[in-house]
Amino acid sequence: MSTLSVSKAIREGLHEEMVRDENVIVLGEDMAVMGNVFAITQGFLDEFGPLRVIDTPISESGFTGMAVGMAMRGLRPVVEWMYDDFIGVCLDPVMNQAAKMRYMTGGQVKVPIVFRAPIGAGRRNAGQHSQCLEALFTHIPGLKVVCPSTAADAKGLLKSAIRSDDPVVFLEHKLLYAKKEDIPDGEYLIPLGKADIKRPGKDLTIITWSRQVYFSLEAAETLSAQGIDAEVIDLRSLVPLDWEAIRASVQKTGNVMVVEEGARRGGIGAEIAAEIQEELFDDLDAPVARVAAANVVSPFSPPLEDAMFPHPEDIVAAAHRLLAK
Amino acid sequence: MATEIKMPQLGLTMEEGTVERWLKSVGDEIKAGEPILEITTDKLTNEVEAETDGVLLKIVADEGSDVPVQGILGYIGQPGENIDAAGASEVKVPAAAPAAEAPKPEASVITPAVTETGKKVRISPLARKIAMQKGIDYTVLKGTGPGGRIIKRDILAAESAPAAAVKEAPKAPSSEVAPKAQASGSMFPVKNLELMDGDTTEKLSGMRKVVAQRMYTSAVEIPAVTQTVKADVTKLMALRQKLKEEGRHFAVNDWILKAVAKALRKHPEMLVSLDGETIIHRAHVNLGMAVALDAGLIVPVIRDADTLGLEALSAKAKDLANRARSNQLGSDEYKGSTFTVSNLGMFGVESFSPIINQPDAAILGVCCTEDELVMEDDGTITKHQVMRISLTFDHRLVDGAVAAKFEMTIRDLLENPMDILL
Repeated sequence: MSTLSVSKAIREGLHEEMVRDENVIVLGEDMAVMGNVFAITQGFLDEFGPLRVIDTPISESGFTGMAVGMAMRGLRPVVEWMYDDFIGVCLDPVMNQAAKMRYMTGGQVKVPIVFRAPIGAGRRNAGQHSQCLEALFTHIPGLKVVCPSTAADAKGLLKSAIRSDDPVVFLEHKLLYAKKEDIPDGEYLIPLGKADIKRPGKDLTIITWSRQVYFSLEAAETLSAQGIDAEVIDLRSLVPLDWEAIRASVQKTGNVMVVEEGARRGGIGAEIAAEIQEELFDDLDAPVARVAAANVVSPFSPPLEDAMFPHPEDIVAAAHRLLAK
Repeated sequence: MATEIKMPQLGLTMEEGTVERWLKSVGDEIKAGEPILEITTDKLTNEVEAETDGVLLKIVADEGSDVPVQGILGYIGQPGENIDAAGASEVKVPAAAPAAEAPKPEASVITPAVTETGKKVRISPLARKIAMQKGIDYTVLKGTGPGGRIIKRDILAAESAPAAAVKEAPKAPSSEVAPKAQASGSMFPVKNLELMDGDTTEKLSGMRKVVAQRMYTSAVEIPAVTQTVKADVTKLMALRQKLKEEGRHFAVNDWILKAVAKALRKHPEMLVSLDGETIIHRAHVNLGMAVALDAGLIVPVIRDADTLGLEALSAKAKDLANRARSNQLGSDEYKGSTFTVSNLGMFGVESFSPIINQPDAAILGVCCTEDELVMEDDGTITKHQVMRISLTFDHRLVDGAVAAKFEMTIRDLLENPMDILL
């Protein structure tokens, strides 16, 4: 065991993969000389050289498209968008090229690429730098979508993502980068599509991911003191989704809540709630609850921003409503 | 007068049946003897025939519902006849729930999502499922969920309420344990086991449930003893091989069935059943033969096995086993055993303690044939084939020495196969 911040763990995972496979390259804004705004690639330029660690202009459409082309020709690029919000200017190479190429060429072309991007509210970054756009990506068939919450998961999942032959959108919460946690020594992988039961419980299932895992665990402690035993599931990956873990938990507790930081309308919670009511209707003791961000633009004002997205007290309150106690 | 169509009892162990398919619709004309619906029991699918002419007036039990034996499935009568009027005299007999058992879910009691007064009942899907499993009439409950919805805890509270009442009633301090056991009630106590990663669940039902019930009852009721005896089957195997080369193939099990039937004739003390404080001495050697199925276990019966020659016995055993596997046994073909044989030899089992198939007093477990080195009288070492037989018997009726003598008879027959045939 060693203790690393999430950003250092991501750095370590990326570093191990670059050492292991010379086809792994990184590119994005401020990735080389500066070593990334969150210091993910610090020292990489010296170690791997300018052909594998590439500074790009502020031109997401250009370098994302270029990276997709590199992946089609056999490299394994790890692209960083400085914020997931910037997907707006480079969606076509992701949605219409990377996601579709393997299918449309009958498997002749693979696109082994990872798109890394920070997500999340709470940093007073206002409307264009605070979104959680997981739902947007999960709606596009052909993309895998991964959202780690811990340092250990971030490293193990990133390594699996880099080794995936299909495009992976890898979303990192910017307020978790500095969080220090124990991670296993040596090389390890965490498979995509396997949820992690963070806290077993029998009264209520809280399904969540990314930073809301911590808020949910905090809420679960509060609930526990009130006699409500909540199970917290960290999905870790949204596509593929660990349906078996969800099923087992729902069948155990009969009460479910999905907690997400993204907007409520059309969110992941809506999708999971729909699946649960179709597949597990007879196991439900109450309608599936959603705790999500309000359907508004992220405010710049700190009090307003805090009111916009879920906090532990919102989860506790929702649990009381759900269980009617 | 309308005539009830009732769930028939198609075998000793049948307690309830499932309505598989209605072959007639309400209003159809029906002749006596005509099949009107199909039901499935734990073992078989059967047709229920009309007992009278008329039209199908009403279907009470919908397809898929479980109905206890003698429970009402529907009514046959004259066109336009009012069942409620007819039923006033006839239907007052409640649908025969076996005495001293937990209330059974009856389709007609549980289904309404609307009370008699027409008020809609708010209940969660999970609560409704649990209520149906436990046979609790939720329409009379008060919900404590949001907006008065009945949720799981309301059903569980309703279930434990009568149990609490039972607990308070008895005066003697020592009797606290007994009513508790009665209240929890079943041979399948709910333990609320934690599911671990990857676990799945299924309902205990059909044949699996019957096997579970029968094994449980036998294991709990009978002080059973198992004694294992070894038989040298070298000669039997040689004879079997010789016959095989002549084109006459008999399974090892055929020889054993024949030997057991013969031995039972010689030891009538093994052919007994206990009924209360009465011992029944069985007149017939009816050999039950355990047959493994994908869904569970069934024991077809070879009647008067002692009167059949080896060839007839072999043919009968094969026929029963085949039809058991394809679900084509008649309901009287797995009833009436007086002794049972369970053969696990083909799976390499060296010894086991089978559970007695009630109401038999004993069951013979047949184990595998294996090679053993034997020192002959002249000091040479030769290879022999041996087989163990494990007899489990009801020690209330049979003592160890008596059972051992019976086993010795079987052993002697197996060691001298010509005696089996003579």
